[in-house]
Amino acid sequence: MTELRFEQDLLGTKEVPKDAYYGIQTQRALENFPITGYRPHRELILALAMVKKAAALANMKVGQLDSKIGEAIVEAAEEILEGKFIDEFVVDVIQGGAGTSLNINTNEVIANRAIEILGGEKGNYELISPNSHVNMSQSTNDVFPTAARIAILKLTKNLLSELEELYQALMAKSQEFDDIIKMGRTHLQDAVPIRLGQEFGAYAKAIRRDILRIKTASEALYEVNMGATAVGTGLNANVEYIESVVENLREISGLPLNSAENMVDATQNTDTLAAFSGSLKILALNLSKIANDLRLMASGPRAGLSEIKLPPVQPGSSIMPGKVNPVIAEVVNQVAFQVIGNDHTVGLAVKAGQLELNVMEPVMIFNIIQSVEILTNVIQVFREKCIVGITANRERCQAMVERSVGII
Amino acid sequence: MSTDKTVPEIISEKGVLTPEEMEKVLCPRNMTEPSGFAIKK
Repeated sequence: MTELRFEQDLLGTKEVPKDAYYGIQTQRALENFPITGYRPHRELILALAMVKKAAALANMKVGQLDSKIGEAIVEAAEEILEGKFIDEFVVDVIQGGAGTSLNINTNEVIANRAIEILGGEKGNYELISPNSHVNMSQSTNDVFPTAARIAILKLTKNLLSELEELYQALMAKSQEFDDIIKMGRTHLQDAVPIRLGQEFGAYAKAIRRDILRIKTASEALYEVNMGATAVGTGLNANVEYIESVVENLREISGLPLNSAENMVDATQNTDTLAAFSGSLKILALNLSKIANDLRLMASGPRAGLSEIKLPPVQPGSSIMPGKVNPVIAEVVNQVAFQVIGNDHTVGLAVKAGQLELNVMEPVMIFNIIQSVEILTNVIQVFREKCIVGITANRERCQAMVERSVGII
Repeated sequence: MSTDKTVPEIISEKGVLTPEEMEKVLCPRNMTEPSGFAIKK
């Protein structure tokens, strides 16, 4: 039997597991949003801890936050950054309320840990309040978008690194297959000869464009709206605090973040997220096209094109012995479909903003983070388990060219 | 297509090109780049 403690908020009293670092409002969110079963991404949790640390330091600097309380908050946030208490972030990734539940989950975990650091017991919010102290000078409407951008930028670094390696692997294949002549096809009909290396060179070029497109789209995410508070007007935030919090965040995150020129715009408009998601979608389109080409060229082995051979990675059938399927290319296709769907969701959420705020950011951020992560993962396996091990069937390619009416 | 013969076989039978010209004109490698070539007699 889980031991419980009682906590109170403006809606009344509620039981919370005694050992939990989250509190009553997180408990309410757990009951209100049993939606996907997915918890917030680790990078998003770490980014939230960065924001809370930066805000506490800024609030202490401008003399708004008692240093004893502020230092305890900073210490608690640093512990999260070391990877502690990650399992205390329990709210669903899709939630009503513009990310309020996740912001409150963060405030409660940090407050309760900070209370412990000061020698108090969890739930004693008179010592440190999740709202008045941990959330001081902030609103979900600046905390969540800022943390989300930091998380996306951190994860995108990995994606770009994997994309660069994929580009190099495709270029290596382009060189390796430069002297292999095969039939080019248009409309899936014989056309004129092309070198297999040229096919791979074209794939590499498309990936190079994706790298540039994603980098360009991600640059807009360096602009954050910390200090905007609820509607972008900066209510409850001191001007010096706003300068300080972004400076702190730059240092803590290691990212060249800057304050949005127009905080009202940055609080209500999410087109930069749509553009970034769009760049991921285009990458997905290119990857799916490449995967489809590889599946066609590798069709066979006896009754297909059989121009190339993909590395076998697992038996393909439970009923046909010896069959091996292009499963890695197939998973690339499926990830692409997921990312394309995610982008559609992001688009719908972006256009659903009303007046001073877009309250649909949780679903945008969930989808974008998922897209970045699954693209990163699939590109790695695509390169390691497929691209680098592709071999050419030189004789088959040559025979088809010789038999073709295309050599005229 | 109807004879199931290759293009070089048909050209050879009809004597349209000499073997040297055919080798040059029908070289698949040359067809993978835009560098044009002229038939020198």
